[in-house]
Amino acid sequence: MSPKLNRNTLAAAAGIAILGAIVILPVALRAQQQQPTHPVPAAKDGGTVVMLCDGKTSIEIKNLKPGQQATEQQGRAVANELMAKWQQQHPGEHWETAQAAALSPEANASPTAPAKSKPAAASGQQQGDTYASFTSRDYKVWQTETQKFVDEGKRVFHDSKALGGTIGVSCDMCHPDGSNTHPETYPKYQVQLQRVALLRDMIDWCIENPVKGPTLSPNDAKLRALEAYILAQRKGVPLDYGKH
Amino acid sequence: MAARHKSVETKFMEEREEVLRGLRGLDRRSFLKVVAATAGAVMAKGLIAPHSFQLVTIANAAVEKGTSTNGMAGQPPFTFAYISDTHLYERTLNQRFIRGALKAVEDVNALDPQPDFVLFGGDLAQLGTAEELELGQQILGEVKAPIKMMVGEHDWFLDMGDKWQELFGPPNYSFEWKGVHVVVLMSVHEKDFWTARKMTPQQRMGTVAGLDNGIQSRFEVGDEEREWLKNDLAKVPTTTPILVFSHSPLYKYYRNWNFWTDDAEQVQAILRPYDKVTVIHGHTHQMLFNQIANISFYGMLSTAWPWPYAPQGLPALTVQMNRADPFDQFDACGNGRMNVRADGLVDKIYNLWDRNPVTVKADYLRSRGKTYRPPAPQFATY
Amino acid sequence: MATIRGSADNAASALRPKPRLKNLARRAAVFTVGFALHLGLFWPARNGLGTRTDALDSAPTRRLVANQRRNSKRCANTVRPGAGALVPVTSGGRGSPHDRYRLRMNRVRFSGRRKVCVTAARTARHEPITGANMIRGRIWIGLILIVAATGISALIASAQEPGPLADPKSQSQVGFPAELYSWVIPADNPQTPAKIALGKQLFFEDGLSGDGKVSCDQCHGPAKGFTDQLPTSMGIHGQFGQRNAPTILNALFSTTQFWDGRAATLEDQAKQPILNPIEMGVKSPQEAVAKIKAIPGYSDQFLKVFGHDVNYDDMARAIASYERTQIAFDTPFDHYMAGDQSAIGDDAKRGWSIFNGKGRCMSCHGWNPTQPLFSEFKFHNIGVSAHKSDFVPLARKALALLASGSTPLDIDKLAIQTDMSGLGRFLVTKQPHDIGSFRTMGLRNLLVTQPYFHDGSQPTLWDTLDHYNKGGVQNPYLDGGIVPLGLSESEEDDLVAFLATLTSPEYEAMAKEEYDAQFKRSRTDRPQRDTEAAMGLKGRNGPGLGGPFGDIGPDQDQMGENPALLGGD
Repeated sequence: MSPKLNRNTLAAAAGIAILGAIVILPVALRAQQQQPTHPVPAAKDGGTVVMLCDGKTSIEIKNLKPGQQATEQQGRAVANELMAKWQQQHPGEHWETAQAAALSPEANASPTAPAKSKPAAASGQQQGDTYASFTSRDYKVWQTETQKFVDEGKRVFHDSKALGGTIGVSCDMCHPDGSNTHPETYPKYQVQLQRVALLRDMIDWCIENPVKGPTLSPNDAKLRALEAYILAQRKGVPLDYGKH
Repeated sequence: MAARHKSVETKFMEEREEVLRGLRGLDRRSFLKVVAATAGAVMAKGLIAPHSFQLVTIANAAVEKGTSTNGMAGQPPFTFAYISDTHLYERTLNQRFIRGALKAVEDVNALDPQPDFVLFGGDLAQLGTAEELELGQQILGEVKAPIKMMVGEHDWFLDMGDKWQELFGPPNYSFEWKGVHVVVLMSVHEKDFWTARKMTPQQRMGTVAGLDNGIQSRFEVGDEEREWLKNDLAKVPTTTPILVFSHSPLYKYYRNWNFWTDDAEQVQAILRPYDKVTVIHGHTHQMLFNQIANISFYGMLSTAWPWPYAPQGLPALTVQMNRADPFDQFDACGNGRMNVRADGLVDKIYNLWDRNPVTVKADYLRSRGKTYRPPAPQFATY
Repeated sequence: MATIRGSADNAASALRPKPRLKNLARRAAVFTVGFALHLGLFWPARNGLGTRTDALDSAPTRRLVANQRRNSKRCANTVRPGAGALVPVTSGGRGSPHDRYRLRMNRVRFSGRRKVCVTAARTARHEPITGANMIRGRIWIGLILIVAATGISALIASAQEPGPLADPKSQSQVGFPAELYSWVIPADNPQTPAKIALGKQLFFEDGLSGDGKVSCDQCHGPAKGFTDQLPTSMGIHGQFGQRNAPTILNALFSTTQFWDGRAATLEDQAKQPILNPIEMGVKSPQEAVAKIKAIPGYSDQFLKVFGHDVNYDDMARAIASYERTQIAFDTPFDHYMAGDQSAIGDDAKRGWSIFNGKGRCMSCHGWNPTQPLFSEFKFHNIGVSAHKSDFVPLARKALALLASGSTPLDIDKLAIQTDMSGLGRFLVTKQPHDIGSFRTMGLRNLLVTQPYFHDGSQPTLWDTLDHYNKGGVQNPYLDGGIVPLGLSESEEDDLVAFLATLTSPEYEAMAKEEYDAQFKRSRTDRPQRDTEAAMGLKGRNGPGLGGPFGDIGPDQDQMGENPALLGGD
């Protein structure tokens, strides 16, 4: 009795397993991937509807009956048409970043995500990498560079030797944290200079007089860094030129 | 409707008119008396504070007359002057701060009559080197009146006070003066921030010398010294006026710039039992005053450079000084004098260079700003 | 307590004032008439008819010739006969009546600068006296008289005219600040031609003084840049005051008048010197009005201009009105700022650069197109009077006096007549920080308004620069902005070259002369110079107070990062 029963049982078990796999596996996979399901619109002309996985863009291939195999040319044409259609809906965007953004877990947390930097004009096509189209990666690079510039200014601000001063006086002695510099009030008539000045002109005057260093050219890297640091300390303060 | 009690001002203006009626044709002695009375009257109005050309004793008596004298009746009033925050560099590097320190010495030596003593408010050196401290000692050696020294952080953190103690003795001490108990604190201790960072002494000093780097610890009096203070005050009756000299403010003004004493509340608690406590502090380089419970706080001016007012935490009682003009190395700097009244309360005269002196009265502080308000600055401040 | 500086104090440094043209003319007239009479009446009698003297080689003649040679050596600048001066021709020896006239001539200076020594220049001309000669002589006398009389009357006539420099100036000068001008003309005293003419007349009116001899132009003479070019001014009866006379040129643009700003307007200012006892010496406003009324023509003019008779306030208004016509721009510097790069030389350009940078001048002597006066009109103690006055006891005294209540005239008297003059602005504000402070003066036309500072103590521009270069003179109230500057000799020369470009065209010739004289003097005579202090080398080597010192910035080519180009404008 055992040999016949064993074989049959094995076969039955294998069948059940396979069936189970067929049934369970997609479910399991689905659970893992959590792919969104997009309802595909019904075909109007009896063709096949192909939809992009954004769940919105779709196209109907008229001559292709469901179950029929499409040719390579047909496939390519369909792909091109779908892409064109998608780009019409999303002018100026890159499909790779859109896809990555949609799939990435930080999709919600990303700062100026490309979605936010859409140009205002909804009509008209704007294509290519225009000024406003920067990515979060770009932004990160820019922030880092700006901070380096400001930090360089901070370094020079606090160091009399870096300023070129000859008497051991540095800016932070009278302006801790850049206080009492009022960069938002420039341009204004600067009484020490007896002329209308910009912030960097007054910085230069201070370098010459209280700090006793050689005056820097307006394009000097250190002077510009100092200006950057001072302006950075006044983020959010409204501009008020000419205020005394 | 004649008021039953005349205000101090009215009384003095009347006295002055009487005296000045006989102005013409005076002999020299009477003439000087007139000058003094005028000075007193003017000072009482807080308009012009006496400085080197005013006779102070009579003015003091004039001020005193109008105030209450409960407490130490019979004790003579006295004055002391101060020079603070000279931040001297070596002679070969920087002469500007030397010039400021010498100007303060000249001012103090020209006071007539001379103050009882001169308090040095701390930060004699800028980087705490031996040359700087010795230069400071040399300059202060020209002061005629006796000097009481107080240490600041710039003097201490290069060698943790070795040179200072060698030149000037212990950093904290106390003494009696004409019925007032005077305590000099070392209030700029800091918890160790340099060992973990493996800083050299110069780096440690450089860090402490920077106001806004946020690396150094906040100032504190410290447990040990608070104990010492408690013991020192144990024998002092609570009616005795107390003068506390401290470099850090002994209250919490602005943490980022170390205008701050971490254990301020505990120190204030030790001083709470006393009726009349005045704290004279340095470090802030600005006209600054405050009243917390029974304690009046007066900040001293620097001779080297002024600090701006902090973005927050400024005591409401402080009347600000105008912004400093960087063209003028003396602007918003100076020195000053305190008049200790017979009752032990202290009025302060800010001798601002290149500006008019400003008097701040104890009555102003203790009345929480209701009387004797110092004149407001004329132009926009910070 | 109050000491009036007598003329003796000023003798050493003062140049004797140029005698009034009219006085000179008067004296000359007296002399000519007397001389003519003498010649006509006494000369022939002296020599006697029939007195014969021999030919030119006679002994008396030889003596005369020898005398002339000797006398001409005695005096550096001798006016030789025939050079145009009236020289007595005499045959008398010493002690003759002619000597009186000769001596009087010696005392008269024809120009304020150099003493013109008219010696006893005797001619060798000695003609025998004959009847024919007598007649010829008298014809000559007559001719000389006529010519002299014409000349002298012309002198007198011209002396009464103030000259073209006194005329109202045109507003179409390059650099003229039209906007600022419209701000400073007061609404209650608009400019009209009649008022200006009346004001001018009053300005030059001698009768407006205690002794009838002093007018405004004595201290503010148009030919001298509207000053008197003296250290301190001389008023009535030859009394000297304590302050240097500021120029009227561009005074209308100042926010206050006088060195200590005790007058708010030109009208207020005009009222004070008239009543000051040592300036014009009129006892009261009523007396001044009476004096003017007594002079024919004024009452009608006042009626026409102001609608009522002479009064003190209107007098001041008229004078102020005239003063507001004295504007002086159109300088080479103004042309340079208007775009003409060749208007000033390279040395002046360097000087302008130093002015803006290392010299730290601009911060107080500010210039901008809207207010191009080279002053911010504030008050600073730069240490000028510190070396003469001891401030501390002076201030003590002043406070007591002023506490008894003071009118503006009291301050005026203190400022002009007493040693408290050095207290400056303190007399006006009674604020301690004003002790020894004086107003920042403008820098235009400096080369015709010497000497400099409130007490006229510095005769040349180099002296003023030396004063600043070394950080002023130490005193307890010295402004903290006054610090050693570290200027080199060539930098000072450049600065002076720049200041020289601030001269208006009508004063150009005089300024050039003055510049040359000052330049020459500056090569050898520099009493204020203290190079050690200027370079910050004086430093402290040990205990002891005194002496200026400070930090000098690093050496840098001023034109490299030219501070004159910094900022706007």
